[in-house]
Amino acid sequence: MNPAPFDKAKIAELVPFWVNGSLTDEEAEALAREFERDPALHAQVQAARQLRALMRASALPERSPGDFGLARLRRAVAEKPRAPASLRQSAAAAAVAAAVTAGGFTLVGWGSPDEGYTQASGPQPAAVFTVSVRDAASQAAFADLLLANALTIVDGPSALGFYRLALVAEAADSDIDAARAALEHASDVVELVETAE
Amino acid sequence: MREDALVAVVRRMAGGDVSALDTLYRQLERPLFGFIHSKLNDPFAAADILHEVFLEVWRGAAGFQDRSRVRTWVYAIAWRKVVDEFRARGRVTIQDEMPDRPDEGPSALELLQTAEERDMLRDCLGGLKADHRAAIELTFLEDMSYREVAEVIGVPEGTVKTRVFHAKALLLRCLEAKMNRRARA
Repeated sequence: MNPAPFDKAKIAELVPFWVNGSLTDEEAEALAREFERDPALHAQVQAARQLRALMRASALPERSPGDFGLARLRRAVAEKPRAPASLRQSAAAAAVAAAVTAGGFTLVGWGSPDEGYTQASGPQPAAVFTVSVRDAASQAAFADLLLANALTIVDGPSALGFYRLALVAEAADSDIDAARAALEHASDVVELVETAE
Repeated sequence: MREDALVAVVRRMAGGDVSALDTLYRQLERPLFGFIHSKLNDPFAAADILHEVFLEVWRGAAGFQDRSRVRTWVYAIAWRKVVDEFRARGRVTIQDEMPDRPDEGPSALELLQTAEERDMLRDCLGGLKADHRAAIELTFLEDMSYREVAEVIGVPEGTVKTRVFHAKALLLRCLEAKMNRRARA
């Protein structure tokens, strides 16, 4: 048994999509039956076909950015490389957790690599290490590692997933070596440790 | 390029393959630029938006879901940015009248052959509301289904069908009026 016929409004609404060939097989078959029932509908199809052809013929050949646009895009991508999503997400969450847990720091934004933390009591300390965190490392493990070694995040994660770490204000300069050793030892959490520039 | 190939390109982008971004750019840049430019009529703004679209595609590749087709996903990003630009410019609608008669036949169109007449069509397109114009251009220039158009411009499928119907009728009426004025001149 054939389905109920379409009303005229529905037919008129489907004609443009009949003309561009995007209807489902079921819709197209149903519409074809309507065209058989009422040959006058062919005028609608013809009008839609002609309008489509005219729109295509009238589309101005705009000069698209082409290779210049691609070069611009490549530059933008190279300037702000993207971290893999998993690292980016876990790293951001770990940074938030660490900052909140450590206290005394205020998260001011994640929108830009230039933004980071401002110390509530004054300027932020200078970074002493740059580290990257393993994809598989948990937020808690990273936060615990920082807390246990008097470290705090002063910048990051960067687009590549790097953090810049500083010693908290109360720590002595001599703690740097111990902190470095602890970071390097925690190879299940930290992938890379470099002296911050 | 077929949809499954485009999906593979996006997957490579998600893995950080910049050459895949080149591939996608070469596939979609021209039609996408045409789509954006036709809405803004400003090649510099259109180029900037095109750039932003591909950057967003690059950054969001990991979040691409197979629920959408790649082309639909990219055009939806472009449309959102065009709408933002409209808002920033405080753009107003020029023409928003619904036709008072049903779908027309091809009489006016049969005569449209010359460059002057194609200019008429461009004028008429320029008089459409942006959302009507987007709907009919995605339908007739990009050959998208009404489901895809709905996804791109973020409205129900029924609204797309209605907008395309009205846009078509408005264009035909506008063209007929221009042809009549020219015949009387």
